[in-house]
Amino acid sequence: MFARTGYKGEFNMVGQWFPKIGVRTGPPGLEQWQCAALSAFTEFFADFGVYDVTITVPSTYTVAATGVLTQAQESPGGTRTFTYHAEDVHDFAWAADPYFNTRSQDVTVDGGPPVHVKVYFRNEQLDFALRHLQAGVGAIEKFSADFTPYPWSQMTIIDPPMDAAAGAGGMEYPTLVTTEGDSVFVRPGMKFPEYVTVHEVGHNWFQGILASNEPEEAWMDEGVNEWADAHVMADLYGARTNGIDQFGFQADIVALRNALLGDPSSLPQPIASAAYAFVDGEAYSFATYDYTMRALLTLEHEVGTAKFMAAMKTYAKTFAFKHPTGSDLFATLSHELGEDLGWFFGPTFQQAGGAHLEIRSSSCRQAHEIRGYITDGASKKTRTETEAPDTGTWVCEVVVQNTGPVHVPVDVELRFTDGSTQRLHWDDKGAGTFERFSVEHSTKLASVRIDPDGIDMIDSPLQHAHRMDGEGAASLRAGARIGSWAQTLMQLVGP
Amino acid sequence: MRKSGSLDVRLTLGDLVGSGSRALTRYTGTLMTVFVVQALVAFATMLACAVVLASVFSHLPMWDDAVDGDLVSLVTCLRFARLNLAACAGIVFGAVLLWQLASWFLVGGVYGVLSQRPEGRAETARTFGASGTATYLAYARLALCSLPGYLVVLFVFAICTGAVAGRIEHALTVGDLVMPVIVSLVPAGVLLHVLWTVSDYARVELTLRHDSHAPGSLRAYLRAFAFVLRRPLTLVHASLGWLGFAAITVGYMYLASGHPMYGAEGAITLFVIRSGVSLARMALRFAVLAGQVDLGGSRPPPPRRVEIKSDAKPQ
Repeated sequence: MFARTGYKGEFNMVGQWFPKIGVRTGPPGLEQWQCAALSAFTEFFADFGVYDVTITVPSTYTVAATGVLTQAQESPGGTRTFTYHAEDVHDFAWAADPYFNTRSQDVTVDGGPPVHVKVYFRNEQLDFALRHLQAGVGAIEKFSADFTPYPWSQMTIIDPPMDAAAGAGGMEYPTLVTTEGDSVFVRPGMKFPEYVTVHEVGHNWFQGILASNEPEEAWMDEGVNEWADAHVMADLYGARTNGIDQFGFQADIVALRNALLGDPSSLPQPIASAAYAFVDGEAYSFATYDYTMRALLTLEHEVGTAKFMAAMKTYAKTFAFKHPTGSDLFATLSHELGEDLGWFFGPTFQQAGGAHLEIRSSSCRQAHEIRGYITDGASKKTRTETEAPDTGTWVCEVVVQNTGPVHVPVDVELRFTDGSTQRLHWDDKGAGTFERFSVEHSTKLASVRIDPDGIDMIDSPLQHAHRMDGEGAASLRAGARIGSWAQTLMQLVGP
Repeated sequence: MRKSGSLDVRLTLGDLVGSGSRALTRYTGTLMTVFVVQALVAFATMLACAVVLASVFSHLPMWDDAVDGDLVSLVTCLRFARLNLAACAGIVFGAVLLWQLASWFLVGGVYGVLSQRPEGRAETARTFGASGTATYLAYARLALCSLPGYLVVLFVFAICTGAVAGRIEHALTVGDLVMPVIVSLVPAGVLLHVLWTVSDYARVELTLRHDSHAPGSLRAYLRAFAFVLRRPLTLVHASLGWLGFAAITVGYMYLASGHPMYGAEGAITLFVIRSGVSLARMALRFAVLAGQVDLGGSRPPPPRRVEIKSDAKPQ
């Protein structure tokens, strides 16, 4: 099994196995054929068609394939023949295994005919197959409601055997996906298997229906799908628990991934690079999947979720069964959201570097009139502390900066030692790299927090908050735990 | 079977357990001395790590959430301060290494007290210090002798784990995991238990026979190996101690789960409670050492080295 195609034992996964139909794109009179070959970082760019496929296998085998099974019959020589029909798809894949079992469930979409969701699995994977089935059903419901109704009558989910999962799992084709994540170490509260299924089913929208050019703009299916998956996972499994809810830990999958992955400022190339042009797989993966997701979430937080979801729904309905480009997406969003979003799309998608928001400095001093040597034309005067006493209030100055190319308007929250707070706004759309705030207050600053509402998902939030006075209690608690672990180790090596 | 007035005394498991409990009540001060030294090392480790972490996190509020159990905050902070974490790991390693070096003196002192059974604080302190000093280098040489055995343990663990790695990777249920984990851990675990017990009895011999026979470390190690293999009681008795160690540890983890500590008072309280757990474990270990001294003392002594002196006058 290699790159999602091949066999492992008696399990066969057959994808990328026939000459695919290219796409003729371009303005009228300037059309060109787009026939990109499949390579390490690129997948599909093909056109829609009607597929009728006949597959003959040994009679002990069960087949799972794109589309709808129209005929199954026993053939001479100990074989059986399956015929599948699929319309408005741009690819066809199938799998065969003599040990497949199935579970299925129907889901109703937008009041239309039911969609038949079927999972193929080996018996020992039954528990995980049921998890994948529920995730698939939920994904079809949510994606249909959020974007455009699932247009086909069948969804096939293949849960590959354990020894084939690494090679065959986690892949998408129209109306057929392979999933993965089955393991005793993935407890029911860890939603990784569900996430894989939701992600692959989601590809039926982002790239299956909205058939963008993946070799040239991979972020449009992987990254946009990741953004959509975050919503579906939160709807299905809870805002705070859709990643992990086990062993006393809770985390949503987006926040957990952001914490685990690096800073976009480390990427040497922008998001909108051709998939085959990324310097390595790590850069491709981070830019195409995670950074794109973070960028869209940031814009969504900026404009409001309801407005953004409505705009994305319009995009999906407008370009269903077409080949949208990044420009089409940006233009649709700008139009639906009622403003030119070039200040965001340009730096975020066309430049490397990300955002880097941080508090440059924060300080307070006693408020008083000007002291020192003062000249006023010809007259000179020295004003001392006695003549310009402290007024009893404090003047606090905070400088925030953003040294990355991506700029996002954010609030800055000042918290004072008397417990009061004050919010200021930095309407940063790329005009400058820093902003200075100066406020007068009855008490000193206790802490400063940039982006208290968590709008910016691109940047790490760790340095968005600063305490004026250092506090060591948490470090002492952590030290106590480390000290007790050290004592346990000492007792293992000595008395 | 016991023959009074004879070295050929067949002690039972009950005798060894009884020796341990008597030693705990009689030499509580000795136990506490060793424990206080260990607790001080652990406390110093705690403070050092707290300073290292505070140097980077004292002004960052997210660290508070991380320490209180928020997974995302914890991952974010740990990624940010990898060098500080490495420094903390180095502090822990240094503390454990320091303790290893110190334990040769402390264990020697404990064995000396348990074998000579001094009366009174002053006599006990004198015996502790003299025995620890006398056997320190012998114990250091013994540690070197035991190193090849530990390398074999690592080798066995690697081989066994490699043999079942595929089954562990593809396990779907806890049932699928049981046999591979047993195959992976048990052979190396049994070998490690044997080697630890051998080291314990070699130290007993080095302490008991130091003045009378001056046994070499390598010879004591090999004799102890043969003794442990001939007397399974040694392994059973030692395993009781380790089972108790594990039970106390797991029991505390179960009781403590879901009970975060807040504020600096919480850190001290946390340390005190965990020190109590450590004291219970050390008491168990102390009791095991006492039983080992009794059983080791019932062994026939090693051959005595004889110096040959000639009265013949030189020609």
